[in-house]
Amino acid sequence: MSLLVFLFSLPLAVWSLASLFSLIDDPDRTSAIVRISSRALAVLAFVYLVGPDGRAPVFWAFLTVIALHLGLFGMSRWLIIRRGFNMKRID
Amino acid sequence: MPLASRAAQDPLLVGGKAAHLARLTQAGLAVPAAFVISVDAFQAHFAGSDPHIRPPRPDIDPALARQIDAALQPLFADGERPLAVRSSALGEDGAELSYAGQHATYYYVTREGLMRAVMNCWLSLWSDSAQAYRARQVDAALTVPGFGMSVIVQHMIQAERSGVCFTADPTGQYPEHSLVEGTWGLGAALVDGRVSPDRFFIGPDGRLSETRIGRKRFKVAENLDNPLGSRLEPVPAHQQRIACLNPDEAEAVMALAKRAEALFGSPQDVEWAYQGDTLYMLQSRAITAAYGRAPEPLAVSGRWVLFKPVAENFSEPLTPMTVDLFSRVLPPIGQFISGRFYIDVDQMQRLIPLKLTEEELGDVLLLRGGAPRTEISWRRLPACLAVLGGFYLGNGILWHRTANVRLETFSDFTQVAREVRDNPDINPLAAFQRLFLVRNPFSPISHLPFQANVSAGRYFLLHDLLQSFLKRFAPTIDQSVISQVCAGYEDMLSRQMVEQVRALAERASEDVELRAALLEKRADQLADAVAALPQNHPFIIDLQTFLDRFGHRCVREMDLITPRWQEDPGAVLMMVRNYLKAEGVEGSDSYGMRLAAQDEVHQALGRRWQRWLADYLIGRIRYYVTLRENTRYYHTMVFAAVRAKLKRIEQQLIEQQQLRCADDIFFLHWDEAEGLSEGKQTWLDVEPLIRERRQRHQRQSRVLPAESFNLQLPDRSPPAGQAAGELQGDCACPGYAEGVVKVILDPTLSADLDPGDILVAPYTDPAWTPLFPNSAAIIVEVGSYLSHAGTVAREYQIPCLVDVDACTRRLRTGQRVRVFASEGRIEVLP
Repeated sequence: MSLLVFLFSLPLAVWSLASLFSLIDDPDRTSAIVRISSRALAVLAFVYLVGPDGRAPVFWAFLTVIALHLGLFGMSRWLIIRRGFNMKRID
Repeated sequence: MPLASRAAQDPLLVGGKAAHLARLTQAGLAVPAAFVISVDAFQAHFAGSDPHIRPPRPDIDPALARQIDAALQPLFADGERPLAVRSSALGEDGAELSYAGQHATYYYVTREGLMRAVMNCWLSLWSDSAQAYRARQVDAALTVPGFGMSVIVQHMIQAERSGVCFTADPTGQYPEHSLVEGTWGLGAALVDGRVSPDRFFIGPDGRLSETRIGRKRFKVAENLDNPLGSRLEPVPAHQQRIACLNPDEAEAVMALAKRAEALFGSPQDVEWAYQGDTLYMLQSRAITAAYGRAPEPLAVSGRWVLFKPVAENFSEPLTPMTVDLFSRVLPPIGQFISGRFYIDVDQMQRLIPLKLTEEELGDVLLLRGGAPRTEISWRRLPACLAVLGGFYLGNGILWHRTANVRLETFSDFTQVAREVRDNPDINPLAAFQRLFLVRNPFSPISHLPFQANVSAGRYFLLHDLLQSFLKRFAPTIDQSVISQVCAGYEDMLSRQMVEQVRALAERASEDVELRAALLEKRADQLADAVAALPQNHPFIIDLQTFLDRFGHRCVREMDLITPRWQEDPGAVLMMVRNYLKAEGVEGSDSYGMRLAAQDEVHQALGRRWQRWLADYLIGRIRYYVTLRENTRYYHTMVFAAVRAKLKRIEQQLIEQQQLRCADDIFFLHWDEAEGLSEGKQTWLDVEPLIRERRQRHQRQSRVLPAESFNLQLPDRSPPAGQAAGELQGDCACPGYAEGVVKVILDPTLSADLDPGDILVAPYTDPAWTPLFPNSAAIIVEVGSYLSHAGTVAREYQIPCLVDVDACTRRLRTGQRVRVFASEGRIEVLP
């Protein structure tokens, strides 16, 4: 059951975390806050549905997504700056 | 010995090139007067030398010096004049080996400098490039001739126009035609790959069939006013866009070359030159594999397919600097092969959980048609889902951030690009990395136009979904209706660009004289006509406003070597001319057409949920289409900014004599250019690299990119029973049109398009957009549904076919055709 909650929480985490970026992406703060609030409500509703036992998998799902997102950015940045991404070529 | 002597025909005595010239001279062809210093003289000076170890420079034997002095007398009978000193190695210009460009040639040699030039020619047998060339021939198991060189001493032809001529099309694209290539000044600029030459295709009847004007930005000057200065000069703007030969002259060149072909009994590659009105033949050799369709067989392992979503930008190979910078930021899903980007088929196949034949896989990767209806590969599905799931978790946040962006916020990127461009502490590589892909996860999405552009490509999947949905619930809906409802927003930036060009045309038409000049002057004279206007002329003010906004664009905008409109607004003036010609032609009411089409969709769908779902999909597709077009406008600012930085560095290097010619820097890799800037390398280190890469780039430009390597693609040749006058392609915008073909290869060189013409192009990018509204239909050689041609054609509801194999060669300007875009076919009318 926990695994199912965790797996279902992963896309939910992606979707809801993306809304946080509205604060830097969207010059209209009102619509940003509306978007964040609506997604936060959806997450809260999900947490309520899965009950106290489901809170930990949801938490770990959010942590996993944050780690993967920052890890992917960091890794690609490092690859590009330090050694080049894809230096293969045939002239 | 003089070229007229019988002994000069012996290739073992004088080398292949001199022997050929001797035969041509004795057959009465117009070869400049010359004599040859035979291979015996070389042997006498370098007896016992190892071909692999460069010997010390010996002194010229006094007896030989006296013989040369005597041989000069007939050449100087009419007074002293400059000489050309040319190498002629054993085996050079043979049937198998050309040795083209491997050995030294010296121009404008005086009597005093002759001995030194002869010695340098001999020593060029030990140059790195000549040794490498010989080693390659040994590896390829070709017969390597003996080791020795003769030297040709010849009247210097101070050519105002020159070039090469192939008595059979060397690219294999026009089997029935022969080809003359020409440029201004001496032919060295063409042979070295410094110019894109004019191309004159001569039909089997010996008549000029087609002229393609090249971009001749430089020439090797025919007169040497400053003996120590660079002979490379910029070509005046008015000469860059006009043909260097008239039809009679092009036919005369070919007639001369055909005489050489008859003499040698095989297709010839001839160097020619016009001094005044006199035509000379400078060289003739058999066309070797070096000029064939596949210049050198590429050792490519693995399976690769041309990356079609961006193939529109790569129909010509990218220059080495662009490839080098791109290679550092593109993800490892592919690699550059001969200046074009190919994706790794094996990697992509792992991401497609379908049982596909190799041909079906080729179709999917080349974005031809929709997804094939085939079985799911259950074996591959788990791994595929894991990879896609992982990618979604890592990148999905960015994906969702692009789902509801206010499009106007991307204008912030203009300032970002400007700051990076003007900051001298940021080098071109860092600028490319910072602007193009290096991402701070907390940057506003408006600072990441490239990522947004890639994410917006999802409209392709949504479009496929909408099509399937309507096919199921509204089968009466036509393809053209779907295409109309899915057009981008009316204010998307490529449309605004078209409207601004139209406004420029309206402004020009207010001034009767300017209007007449733009309509009547030759293409090469338009810039002069506009330059003559006062700075406060309304047209100049409007043109400047246009360039401030769109001046970072140009054709082939992803290649850093291409001048932007800001630097060369000639192409904009050509587009203005087209709109002046189309005055009175009403544009289509795309807004009204879209609303009507959407109404039709509503009526065809019975239930409310179906209408809601259709509207949702249509809304999303329109948003992503607009996002894709608009973000491209911004991410091309990266190329303009990096180009500006590179040009500044190049200017400094030219002033320091570390580079000799504008655009040389684009034939280096960044590390090499940086090494030059920091004094770690010199011109002598990079000169052979630049020369070799320019020549290779020119060879690669002559041929179309291979669609794939080591992959069996579907046979696209016409099916049995299909009329010979039919071509096939992929529908990018449905519809029907009939009209006169206008083949345009480069809108900056020739863009005369009359309203109602059918535009035939090798590719299109945003710089072509202003040509679209005048076209009745668009036919494009490369590209896919996602390419720019399709996207903008759908905006204007112009029937458009993409991926029409060899259409720029199989269709000719002036032919009348019918375009059945929905059926993916073109019918050539008799």
